[in-house]
Amino acid sequence: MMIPTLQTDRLTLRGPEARDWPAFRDFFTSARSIHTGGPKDPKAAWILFAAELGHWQIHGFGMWSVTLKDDTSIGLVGCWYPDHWPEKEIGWLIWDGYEGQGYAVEAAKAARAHCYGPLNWTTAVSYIHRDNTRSIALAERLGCTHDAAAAHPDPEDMVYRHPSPSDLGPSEIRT
Amino acid sequence: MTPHLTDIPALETKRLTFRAPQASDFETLAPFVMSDRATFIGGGADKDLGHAWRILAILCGQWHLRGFGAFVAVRKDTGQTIGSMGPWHPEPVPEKELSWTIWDAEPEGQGFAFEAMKMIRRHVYGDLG
Repeated sequence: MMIPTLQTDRLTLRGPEARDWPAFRDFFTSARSIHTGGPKDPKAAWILFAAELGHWQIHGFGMWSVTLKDDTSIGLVGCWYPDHWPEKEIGWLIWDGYEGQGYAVEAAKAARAHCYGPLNWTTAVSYIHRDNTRSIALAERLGCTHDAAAAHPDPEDMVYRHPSPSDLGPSEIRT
Repeated sequence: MTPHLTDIPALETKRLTFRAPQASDFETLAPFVMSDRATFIGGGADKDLGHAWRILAILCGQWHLRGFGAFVAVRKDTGQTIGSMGPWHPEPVPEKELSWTIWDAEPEGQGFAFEAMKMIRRHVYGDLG
């Protein structure tokens, strides 16, 4: 399966691989996943992991594995659009121990540049649980604003709308 | 660029061909997952489109993670998509399962699943060892 690889100064965004499973499992079986659909038992987590790959196959876009340059998995960031969702999302999951170093914002900007460039998205949202203050702070660092009028997939979620491609300008859009 | 599953073994029987699951299968799979026919395999009339979508994503994703997975069986005579059939092995489950689902009620009772599963069992014992 052809998944594009994106590079940033400190990170590589590549297709999820079976070797990322232990880190994914540890996240989704821990309390850390409480605002992103977890915690789950290991089987449910594996099924979601498989769905991450299937998402790429169905849509041609999806969530990348974010790794340090030595291939250490630090999270998943990218595009998420299951069938019933009102809009295409830019999402992020950062494993325990890799927060607070600006990795998520670096990866999310690379993902957004891909969405607005090769994928030709004209807008993007991030759905964030109202209690997930760290994630809301990240959305704000990415220039997102709360869009109270937008539809959301879950009543507990708030919709944060990303700046449009023209708001960002060519330096933040991948060619 | 749309990713495709490649290196899927080419299997066929007298009446059926087998291919990888793909996005267009959603049209047939979704009504099945959201019907009472799917009650015993994690679906049911209380399930929504999002649940059905995730089932398709899982069917596709297992191929990428495991290198094997469930095929979608297609009738040679009509081109109709019959259902998904093949190995199923989520991580903590101790053994590999051979699974089958017949999506629409109409092709049931004609031996398609039996015909398919004999071929797929040969494939997993033979090609997959």
